[in-house]
Amino acid sequence: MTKTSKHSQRGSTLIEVTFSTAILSVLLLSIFGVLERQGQLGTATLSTAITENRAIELASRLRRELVSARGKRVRCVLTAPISAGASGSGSVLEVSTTTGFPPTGTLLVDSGTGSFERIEYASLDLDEREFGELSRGMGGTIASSHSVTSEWIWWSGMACPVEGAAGVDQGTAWLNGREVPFRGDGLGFSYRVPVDLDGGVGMPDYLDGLEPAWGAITRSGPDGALAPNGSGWCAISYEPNSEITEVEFGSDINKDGDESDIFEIGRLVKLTWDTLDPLVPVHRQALGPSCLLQERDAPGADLNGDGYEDPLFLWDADTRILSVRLFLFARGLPDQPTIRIIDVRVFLRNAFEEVSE
Amino acid sequence: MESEENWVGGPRQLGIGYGLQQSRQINKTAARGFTLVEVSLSIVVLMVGVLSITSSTLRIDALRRKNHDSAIAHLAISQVAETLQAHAAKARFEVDGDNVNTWAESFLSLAQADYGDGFRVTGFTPLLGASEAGSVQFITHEALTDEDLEVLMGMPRDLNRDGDSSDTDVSEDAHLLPVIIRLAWSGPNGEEERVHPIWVQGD
Repeated sequence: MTKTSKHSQRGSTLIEVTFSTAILSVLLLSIFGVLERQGQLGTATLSTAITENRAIELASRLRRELVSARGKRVRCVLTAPISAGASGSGSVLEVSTTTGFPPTGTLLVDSGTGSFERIEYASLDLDEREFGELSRGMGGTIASSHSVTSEWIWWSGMACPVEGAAGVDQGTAWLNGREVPFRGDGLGFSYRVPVDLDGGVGMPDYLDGLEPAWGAITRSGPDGALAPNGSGWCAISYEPNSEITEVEFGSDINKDGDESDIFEIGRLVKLTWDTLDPLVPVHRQALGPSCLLQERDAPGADLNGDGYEDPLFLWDADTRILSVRLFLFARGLPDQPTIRIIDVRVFLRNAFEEVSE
Repeated sequence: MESEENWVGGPRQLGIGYGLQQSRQINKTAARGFTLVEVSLSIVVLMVGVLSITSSTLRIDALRRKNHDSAIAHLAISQVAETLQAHAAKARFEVDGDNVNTWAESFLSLAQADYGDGFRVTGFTPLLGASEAGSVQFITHEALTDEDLEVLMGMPRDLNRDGDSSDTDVSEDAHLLPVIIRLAWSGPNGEEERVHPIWVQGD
C-alpha cells in the first residue's frame, strides 16, 4: 500500500513528459492547421462568390447598355498612300472615314497580307477623314508603306468574323459549338444608342421623325456636363491596371504548359465622345470592378487552354449578336488563383449600320 | 484545547509552515496529471468544435456551388434566349419578299437546327435519362394553357391571327411563338431546374 502510494507520487519521467508534449503539440498544430485552412477556404469561397456576383452584375449591365444599341463595323479604307516613315507629331493617315473609331486607338492596316501593320493614333480630325499623331510598327509589326486599295482598315479593338480560315494575324474562337475565324483583338465594341435630343422635358422621346435619334451621352453640355448628343459615339473598351505573373502563383493560369506568362487585370470602361468636335472632352465611365484577365501583349489570346483564342468581344454584324467572354480573376487561396469564365450573348435589337465606311 | 499554533501571531495565523504544507499539497495535485475522463472530454469538445467548423465550411461551399450554378444557368438561358431572338430577326429578314417560306417556318428551321436536340452547359450534369441539361420547347399548339405548359405566359393565345386560339398546329402560319427554355441538372444539393418562357415575334 505504501509502495503504491509512493509509486503514484513518483510523477512522470522525462521521456513520458516529452512524448506527451510531442503528442499535444502535434494535436494542437493539426487543429491550428485545420482552422487556418478552414479560414482560407472560407475566404476563397467568399472571394469566388463575390467575383461571380460581380460578373453577373457586369453581364446584366452590358445587356442593359447594349440591347437597344446599334453596332457598327468600325472600318474604313485608305484614300492616300502612306510611307513607312510617316510617324510622330504632324503625321496623318487619310481615310474614307473615322466615324466610330475611338479618339485614340490602334489600326490594323493590310490585315491578312504580308505588309500587315499595327498603327497607333492619338487624335482624329474635325472632318472625320484623318487619324493623327501616328506611331508605326506597333505590336511586333514592321512599319511599311501602304498604297490605296480596297482593303479595309480596322479598329484593332473590335473582333469581327472573317470568311474562310484565319490568316496569320487573325485568330479562331470556339463559339456556339463551332469554329469562328476572326480579325481584331476583341478588346472593345463601338456603338450608338437612342438619345432624347430634346433633353429631359416631359417623357423621353427617342425619335427623330420616324427613326430613332442615334448618338451618345457626351460631355457636350454647359461646363462639360453630360448631355444627349446626336453626333456622339460610344465604345466599351478593356483597360488594364495591374499585372500578375504565373511565377508569383506558381500556377499555369492559362493552361498552356508553362508557368512564365504575364497577365493583366483590368476592367471595362465606357467611352463617349463627340465625333465632330474634338474639343468636347471624352467621358469615361467604369462598367465594373477591375477583375478581368487578359494576357499581356497578347490581346484575345487563349486563356483556358482549349486551343482557341478568347476575344473579350466578338461582334457578328450579320446576326447582330455580340458575344462577350469574361475571364474573372479572384484571389482565393494564397497559392491558388480562382478564375471564372462568364459567357454573355447580347442580340442587338437594332440593325447595325454600314454607313460611313 | 486550543493548539499553541493558534495564538495571535502564531505560525498558523502568520501562515508560517502552512504555506509549505499547502504547496506540497498543490504539488501533489499537479503531479497527479489529468484523468482519462478529463482528457477524453477535452478531446470530444475539441472534436465537436472542429467538426462544426468543417461542417459549416462544407455547407458554405455547397451554397457557393449552388450560387455558381444559378449564375451559370441564368447566363446559359439568356444566351439561348438572345440567340432565338436573333433567329427571329433573321427569319423576318429572310422572308421579306419571299413567298415560299413563312416566318414561322424559317424561324423554326433555324432554331431547331441549333437547339432541337437541346443544348449543353459546361459543368452541368444532365439528369438521368437526359442527353443534355438544356432543352427548348417550341409551342405550336395555340390551345395549350399555362397549366398544360406549367409556365405563366398568357396561353392560350391566337398565334396565327386567324381570330381564334384553337388551332393545334401553327408551325406554318404563326406570327408569334411561345418558346420555353428549360435547364435541369444534378447539382450538389440535388436536382435543380430553371424554366424560362419567352415570346418571339414574327412579322
